[in-house]
Amino acid sequence: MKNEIRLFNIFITFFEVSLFTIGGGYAMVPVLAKRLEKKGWMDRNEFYDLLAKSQSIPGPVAFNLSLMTGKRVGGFWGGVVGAIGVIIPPFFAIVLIGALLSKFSNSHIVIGFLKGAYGAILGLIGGVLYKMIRSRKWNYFEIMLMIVGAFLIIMKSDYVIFIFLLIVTGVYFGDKKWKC
Amino acid sequence: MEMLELFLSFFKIGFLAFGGGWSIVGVIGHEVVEKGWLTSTDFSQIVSVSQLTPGPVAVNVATYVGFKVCGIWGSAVSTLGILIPPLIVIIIAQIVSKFVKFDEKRFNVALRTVSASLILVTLYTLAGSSNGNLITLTLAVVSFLLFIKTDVDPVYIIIASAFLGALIYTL
Repeated sequence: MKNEIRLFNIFITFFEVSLFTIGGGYAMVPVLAKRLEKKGWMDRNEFYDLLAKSQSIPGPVAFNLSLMTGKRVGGFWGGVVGAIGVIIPPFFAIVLIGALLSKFSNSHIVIGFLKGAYGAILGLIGGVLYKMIRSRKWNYFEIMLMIVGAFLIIMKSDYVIFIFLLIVTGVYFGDKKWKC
Repeated sequence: MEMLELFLSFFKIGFLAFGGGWSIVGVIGHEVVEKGWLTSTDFSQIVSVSQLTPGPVAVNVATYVGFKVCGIWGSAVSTLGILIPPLIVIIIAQIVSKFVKFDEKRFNVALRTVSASLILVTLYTLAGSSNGNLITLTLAVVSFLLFIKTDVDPVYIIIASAFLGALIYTL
């Protein structure tokens, strides 16, 4: 019984954090860190270790992080209920807004609001790309593969997985030959 | 049948989800427009809503696209579709790393390079959906500069820009 209460507690904690943080995985990070610390489940250092791990594996950071911290706090099922707790609020938020929005799709305010947000999003993605490129040294070969890769994906989007693997192996094995 | 196609599309794209959510949004946009599921204007609205609601943006986009195409069950299969592949990749990577020795640093560089390609694709796809609208482009440039020059939380940049947009379009 005690175990079920703990699992429920984990679920509720992740559910709440997910529900009240807008802006994707990284917005959730500091809130979750504080909450877990307050509950006495995990200290900061341990949390940021797990954050680093969840960034190094594929998949959304918020989802990975909830799996890992949930697992640390409540074992395998802790991870499962943590991840479910994080996914449920956005899922129903989207379904609800989707249903509502189709009724207001002719409203100028709503359209303007979304278009305004869209402008900022475009700028921010540009910013993310800029910071990503500035964050390390690139050699010419990597830059070439990066640009050719983007071009190929746009032209032949059906082969995106193949192109993806091609760029990864190209950069991985191409390193030594292109050092100057 | 559409349900299965939705699942497979997102399942395929889920394997590419390495460098944060924005990397795969462009590929999703390509896929749904090409399949004729949504127009690019629809998709741009979905992107805005997905960023303004809680949760990881790529998962939200998948949930919303699924909803538009097939209702709530469409949402469910699309969300599952995009979340399962990373788990598979993690399991495979754990097995493979026992037998093959990887240069981890080199591998991360390779992944970051391909993620940059994908984000470039996202930028291209989303910029295309803005139809060269001057207000959108101005907001984009201002947001870009705020993001790289200041420490303002991106969430506030998006919300401020959204209200500005509402104001401009209702006047």
